Amino acid sequence: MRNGAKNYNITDEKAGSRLGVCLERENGGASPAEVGVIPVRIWKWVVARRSSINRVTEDLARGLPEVGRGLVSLVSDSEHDFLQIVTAIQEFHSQSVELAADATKLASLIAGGETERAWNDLREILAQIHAFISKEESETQSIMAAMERFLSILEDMRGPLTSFGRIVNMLNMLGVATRIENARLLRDDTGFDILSAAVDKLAVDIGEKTGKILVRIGQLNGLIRESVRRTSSLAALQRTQSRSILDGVSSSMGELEKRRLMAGQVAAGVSGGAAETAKSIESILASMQFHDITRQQLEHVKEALEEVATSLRPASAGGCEAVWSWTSVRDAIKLQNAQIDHAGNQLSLAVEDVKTKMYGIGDNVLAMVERAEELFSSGSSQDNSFLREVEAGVGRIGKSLHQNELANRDMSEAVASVAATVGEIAGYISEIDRVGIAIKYLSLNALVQAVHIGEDGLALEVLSQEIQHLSEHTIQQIDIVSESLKTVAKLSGDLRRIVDAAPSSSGSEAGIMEAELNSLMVSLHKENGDVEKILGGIRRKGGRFTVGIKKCADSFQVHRRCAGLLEEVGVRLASLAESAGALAGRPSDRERGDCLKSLSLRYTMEKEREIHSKHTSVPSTSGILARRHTSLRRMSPEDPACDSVTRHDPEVELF
Amino acid sequence: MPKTILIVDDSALILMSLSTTLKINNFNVETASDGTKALDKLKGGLKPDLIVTDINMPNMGGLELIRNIRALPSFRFTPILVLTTESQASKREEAKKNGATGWLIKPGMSIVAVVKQVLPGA
Repeated sequence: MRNGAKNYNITDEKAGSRLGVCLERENGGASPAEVGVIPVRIWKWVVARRSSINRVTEDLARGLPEVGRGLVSLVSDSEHDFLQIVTAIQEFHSQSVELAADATKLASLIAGGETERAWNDLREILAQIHAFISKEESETQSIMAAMERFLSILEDMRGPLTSFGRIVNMLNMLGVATRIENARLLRDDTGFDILSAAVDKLAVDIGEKTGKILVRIGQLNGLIRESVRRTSSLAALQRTQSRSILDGVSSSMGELEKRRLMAGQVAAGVSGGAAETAKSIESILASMQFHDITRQQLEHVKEALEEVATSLRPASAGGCEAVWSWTSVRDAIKLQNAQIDHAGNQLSLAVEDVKTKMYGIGDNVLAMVERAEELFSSGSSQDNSFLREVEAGVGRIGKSLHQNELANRDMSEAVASVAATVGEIAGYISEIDRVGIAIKYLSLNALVQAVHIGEDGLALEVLSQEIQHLSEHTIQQIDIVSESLKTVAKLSGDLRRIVDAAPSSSGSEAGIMEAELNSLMVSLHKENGDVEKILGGIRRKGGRFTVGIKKCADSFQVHRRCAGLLEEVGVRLASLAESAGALAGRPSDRERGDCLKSLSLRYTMEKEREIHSKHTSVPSTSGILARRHTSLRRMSPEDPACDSVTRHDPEVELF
Repeated sequence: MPKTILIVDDSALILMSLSTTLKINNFNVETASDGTKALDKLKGGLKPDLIVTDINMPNMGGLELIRNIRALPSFRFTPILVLTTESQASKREEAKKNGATGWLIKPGMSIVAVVKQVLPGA
């Protein structure tokens, strides 16, 4: 009850010609000065006002606590929605941790020591194959050069061998002449018949043998030319094939490496995205606490409304005017209404902020998933095709190396054939040589006999000398051919050694390289399979995460429900404030100001409003995140400036 | 070995969101919905490395809880952080007087950094 307020009992009374009401003090003992008569119209006004006060008082006393209870119930109901979101956030965090683990696994698989070693080994083996093919090429070129030299020597041998034809003719002629001269002398003790027979034999031998030798040389020439042709075309084919295979393999490997790098980038992206997601989740969790701040704000509103309600008294007992001024009642209700409005708006902003962050996380993960998807659907299948290409290349290299081995065998046979033929020719030459030497001695003997015969043996002496010269010429020509044959024999021996060694060494080298390559391909296939599996997992889990978090954000509509209910509450409070306002007087501006100030101190939670405003008025999520990250970096405990958390953050004080 | 933190708050939402945040940062978390329950847990053998408490709670508020905790010899030096929406200097002073280690205003965006500062090596 306010000081100085006076309550009166009112009784009807006739006073002269005027109808009036007598006002007496409620507690009796009215002093005459305080008792008066008022006009009936004023009395009616008083009665009507009293009725209004009672009605409004009753409305407020019932309505304000109802509104308060409604608010508490609203807060309590909406908390369930927030708890569900936090539960979902926990699940999303677990999923982001799983994604991060997958990314780490992927990164370590791609950049891991074992894989790196396999790739380095593969590169090394391909380099070895390159070197091997180059060596083979060089060897083939050497063999080809030797073969060409063979051909050239054989060609050179044709000259002396052709000259044997003339020798044969001359021998035939000398043999006939010797026989004629011997017959003319009618002597059979001079040995000229033996000489002539030997000359005939030599002529036949040289004719036969050189013929055979020339045939053999022709065959050898054909064999070598054919071998050179085959080797040359095979070498050219091998060179082209091997280079093209190696180029193909190298290019496939380059593409594979690019894929590996891309997968590495995806892994880094997933890892970074997961870390960012974890930070965003922390930020969301902090934002979820705004519900608690709103709860406290609305609980204060409830208490304020209840306090207003309990302060109201019916008019018969003094009425509101005696306890509260109706202006204050109206203003207090309006103030609470404004607070509710503010709390609702801030809660909406906070929820929208949480939703934006959730969508942001979803977008981040989606981008990452799309990248994984791209790699998985096109990349990994390409990886497989690249691997298959590398594998096929490796197979072709193996086949090519085997072909090389066959060519070497072919060459070996040709060289063996050359050696055999050279041996045969050498035999013929040796036989001619032997007969030539024998004739040389026979002719010497005949010459001695011719000298003994004297004048009659002069012609035989000339013939003997000529036969001796011819045999010496034959021996000289044979020496030339023999020299060539020696060169051919030596060359064929060397070539044989090279060719004989080549098939076994290239075969074993090729076999080892092929086996190593195949083993590496098995490792790479396994690694590729593992990468594919993890990428598939990232794609699947990321997809589930993105859909889940966006669905969760979409379903987070509690603020709209709250806003609707708070609007209804606002309308009701506005109506109650209006009712109270209808009874209000007109205080001075100063009185009004003082009253509002006092109500503000008593019935608003300034701090909650500050907190809300501070955290929800930031224009964009990225801004919040950026500020959050900067703040977190600054607050890392490893950071020397860590204690600045307490120095610079007005919301933190360490005692 | 992860450090253990006891969170005391009457809001299920605060308990849940703060627990999740701290668990994400590799802390073990225990919770109590008011001062009485928190005190029971401590007397029952729980040995947290840090306690984070609200001020306004039913049954036993945060200020009384701090006073009671400090009366227990085993917890004389356990750091206690107050996490509240209260901003009254008098309550802050009272918390300090009762033995609180620090005062944070909700929603405690810096809670992890502050916890790591209070618990070096965590």
